[in-house]
Amino acid sequence: MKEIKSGDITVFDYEGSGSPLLFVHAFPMNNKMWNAQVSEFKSKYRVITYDIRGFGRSKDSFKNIYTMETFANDVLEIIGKLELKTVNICGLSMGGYIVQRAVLKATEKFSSMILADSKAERDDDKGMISRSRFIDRLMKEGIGNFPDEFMKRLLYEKKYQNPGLYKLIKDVINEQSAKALAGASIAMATRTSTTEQLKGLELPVLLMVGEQDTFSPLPNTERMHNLIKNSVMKIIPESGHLTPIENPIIFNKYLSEFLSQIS
Amino acid sequence: MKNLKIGKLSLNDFGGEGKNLIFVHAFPMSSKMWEPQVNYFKDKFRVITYDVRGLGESKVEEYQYTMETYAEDLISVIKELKLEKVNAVGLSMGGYIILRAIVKQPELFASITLADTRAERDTDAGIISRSAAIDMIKSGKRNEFLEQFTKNLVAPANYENPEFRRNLDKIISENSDESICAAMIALATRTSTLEHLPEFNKPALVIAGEYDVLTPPPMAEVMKSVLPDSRLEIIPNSGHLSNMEEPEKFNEVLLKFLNEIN
Repeated sequence: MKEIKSGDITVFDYEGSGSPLLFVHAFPMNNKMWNAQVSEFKSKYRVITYDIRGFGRSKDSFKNIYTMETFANDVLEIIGKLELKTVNICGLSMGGYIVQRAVLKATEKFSSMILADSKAERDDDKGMISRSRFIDRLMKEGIGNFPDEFMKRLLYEKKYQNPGLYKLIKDVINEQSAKALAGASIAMATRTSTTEQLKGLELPVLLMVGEQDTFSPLPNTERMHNLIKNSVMKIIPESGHLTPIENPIIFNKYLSEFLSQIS
Repeated sequence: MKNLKIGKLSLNDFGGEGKNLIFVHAFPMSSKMWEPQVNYFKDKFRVITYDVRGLGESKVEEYQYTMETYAEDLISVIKELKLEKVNAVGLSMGGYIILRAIVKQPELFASITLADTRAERDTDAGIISRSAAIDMIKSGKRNEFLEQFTKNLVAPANYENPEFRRNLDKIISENSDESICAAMIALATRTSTLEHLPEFNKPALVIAGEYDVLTPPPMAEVMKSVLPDSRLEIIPNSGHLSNMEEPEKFNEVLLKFLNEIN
């Protein structure tokens, strides 16, 4: 594995020989959430992960002031920096928002898109207000017991009760500062709706969603499936919002089938 | 005049007898934009101005805040000064802040004046162009951005007026790149207040510059049509910054409104 800097962003290039497969992580995680996918895919694909601006090992040199557009531009800059022709790109939740905007801005750079537990709609007013309150709380009180509260809603009940998995996720969350989490929350609040543009997308798309996902539940994925012409939808059993960690075997199976079908 | 600090916020309390009159400024300005109003109203009302978080003298170290934070800041100013029955005047961003504050705590206000503003949230295209503006500033093109922005901000005659421009540019120049970008983000995180306005039954004055291209008169008419106790004044010969561009007319319509309701 080679570590590369793309501006403020730290990129992890596993240098496999196949076609590029770039993973974009969820809020409030970092590249480590893809460990089970890196092990599975690095022998067949050129697997690449990175930390979102301000997360994990990536910094921000402008006081963590950015929008969803900045996050999408970061993806395009990574592709440029690594001189990749076309990329299979996979994003979960916030990663999915980033992937959608990057793909819609420069479709020619991508050979397929994989969205897990994400949605095409922007925040509605109610969602915006509750996100704003969360940002104010983070900046006033710090992270506090946010990871525990969050994980309770994040994970399928049975997985939440698994101490090993719980600790693994909590440790990853705790690598991010309150300011980085607030900055990314602001970026999510400034995302736009992609519903109109997804209708015109010709790319092969795989949509996955955890059966017990309460953050981006099945109807959000069904709507994207209806919008995108060339899309396949798969439901991951025994999983909440964090499908690649909660049920990596099924997640990897569907991803692997999709990638071999399109190549 | 007393300068006060409430948390991060810098306030000017001009004292004065009479009812409370608080002014909330526009982007990317500071409380200094209200100079023509302060001079005119300070003998008639208790005039208060403040700098929105990050801008003017309200300096911050951390720039993670939203429109909701701005509205909470206004509410905290009113509560800290123990102001009762506030007459609030906001222009553009200042109007957004007041609109959100009256949805949250309508009982704090005696009247509102909404100048060159709107009740709708940003469209998707609006958010994307704000993001592009942030990228411009980050990449060192602050002056290009401000030049484009100012062209839309004021009526052509004022844009060409060197004295007016010097004053305007000076106020803007005191704001850092970070504070301007963070304010644009706060603007992008605002919600629509339109559906709440029919519930606000206090007197409201809606003002729009005749040549305002950022929030043109039809947007003012939308607010006028849903606010139950409202009147609309169009300021002739003015762009978006009606209080600075046509201060005499602005002051006249505001004073008339405040006298009528009190």
